[in-house]
Amino acid sequence: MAAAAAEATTDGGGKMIILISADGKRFEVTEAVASQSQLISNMIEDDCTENGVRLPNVDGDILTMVVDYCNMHAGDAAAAGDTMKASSTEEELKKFDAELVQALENPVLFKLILAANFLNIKSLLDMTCQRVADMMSGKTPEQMRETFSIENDFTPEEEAAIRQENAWAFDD
Amino acid sequence: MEDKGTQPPEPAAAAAISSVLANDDLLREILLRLGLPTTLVRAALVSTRWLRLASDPAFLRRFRARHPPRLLGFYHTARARFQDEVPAFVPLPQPPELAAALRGARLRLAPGSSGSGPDAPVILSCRNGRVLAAEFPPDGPRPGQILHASCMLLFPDVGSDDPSYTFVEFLRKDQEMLAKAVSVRAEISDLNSVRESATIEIQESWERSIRRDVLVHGNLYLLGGKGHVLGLNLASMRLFLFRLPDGVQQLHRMGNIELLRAGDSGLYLIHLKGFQIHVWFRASDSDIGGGNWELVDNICLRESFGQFAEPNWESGDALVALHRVEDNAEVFLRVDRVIFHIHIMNRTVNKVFEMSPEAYRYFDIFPFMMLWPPTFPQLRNDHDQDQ
Repeated sequence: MAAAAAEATTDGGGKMIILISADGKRFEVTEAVASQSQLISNMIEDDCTENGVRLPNVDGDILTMVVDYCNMHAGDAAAAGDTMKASSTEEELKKFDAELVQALENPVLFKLILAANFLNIKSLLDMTCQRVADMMSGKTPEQMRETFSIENDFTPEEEAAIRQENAWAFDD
Repeated sequence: MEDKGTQPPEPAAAAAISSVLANDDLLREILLRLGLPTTLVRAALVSTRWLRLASDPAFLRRFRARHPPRLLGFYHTARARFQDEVPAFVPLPQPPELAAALRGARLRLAPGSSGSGPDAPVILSCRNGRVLAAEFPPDGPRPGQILHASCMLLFPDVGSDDPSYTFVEFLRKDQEMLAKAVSVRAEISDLNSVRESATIEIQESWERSIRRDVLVHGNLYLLGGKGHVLGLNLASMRLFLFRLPDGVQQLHRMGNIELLRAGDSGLYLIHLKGFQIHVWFRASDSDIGGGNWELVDNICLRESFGQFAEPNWESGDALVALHRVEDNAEVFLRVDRVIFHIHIMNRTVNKVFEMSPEAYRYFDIFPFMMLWPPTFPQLRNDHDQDQ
């Protein structure tokens, strides 16, 4: 959906850039939308986006979400003078972000973190890391290990020492 | 890696999870966003690598800046006579994860817990999840008659846990009023750990019922004089005085002013005047206290209180007092027998306590904070051996 209707807005808004996912899907976005990614913003400055930007470690389904997010957050998504769609209000953005992040589950959440980190989109990285942190709240160390498939490499003595020093953090 | 659990993630999912969590930078960003120090401690127990990231002092400083120490509740003393002081703990609403921390706060005041005889402990200071109770100044020659002393627990920077305390004695010698500071390393009982300041003249009597002090950037500031703040530079053990803002006066036996830390080296002075709170700011980066007070904020309590406001407040004879919540931008406000908790920034007000009529004359509040930082024991490098 994000890839549609490119030519018409080309002359009205800024220049368009084509993003190409690992599986070859193409997304056409304005420079303003794309440059929320610090990586792409740097590439635009260096003038190397002419032939499209290949993102070999971002899948099409993840890139769809990233592009939706950037479209929503680009202040001038509708700056071409459209009366239909004024730029999103803060409230709409909050709602959009909340719904996006609530719907995220493993592994999409983690893939999105990798994409946000690679593309260097700070607000998206913030939001997705926060979601992982929220998943950990109220969990015991054992439950955290289970959730993320992490092996316990403490000796029983070490684990006991940490628990003892911080008994206020454990409800047992 | 993926050898356990009731629902092992599918391989592709596990790969995404582990590429994120194996990246120190990303894992650090995630840990930084845990809302509570209890969750951080639990996360540190996931693996040795998580522990290494969570216990790094630079990380702990970032965590603290993001999540200021949380107010768990407060101790209050309610006593018929000084000797019979019975401290009690009042918890504020907390998420279930903090149940253990709250239980600890209550246990601390169980009879006999201080080891100081049959009397219940007298709270002198309460700071960063610790309570200093029933400690008394060491004996020694004094330049005058001790009227009273103000005591404060000091904790240095993150990563260190040196429980030292400082007290300032207020003395009278003939007609002169004097102050003298003593700093004590609490764990070492020999006299070498005691450092004393020179005595200075303070020109006015100091209110003993006003126990207000704040530690900012190596300086300790005390309220209690009618028109002055008393400062103590801890490095040089030098005492100094500077004036309160124009029009601000410490009222007799009233907690109408309070000091708060502003950033790294500045001071806020919260002044309760009628039902307004005036916030003054003073950039004081020199220990002599150069710089002027500047009025920066004005909060109308009646607006913020809404339904809590009572008609008899109009008369202006209600007993009101402010109590600082460590370095956070929040205060307790006592109006007669009722205690309110106020967030300065978002101007929210909650009623948290109402004291009994007989307790109400002798009442003091000690905010109790979540302990910070957590203590992480040093692990051996090759922890498979020698166990």
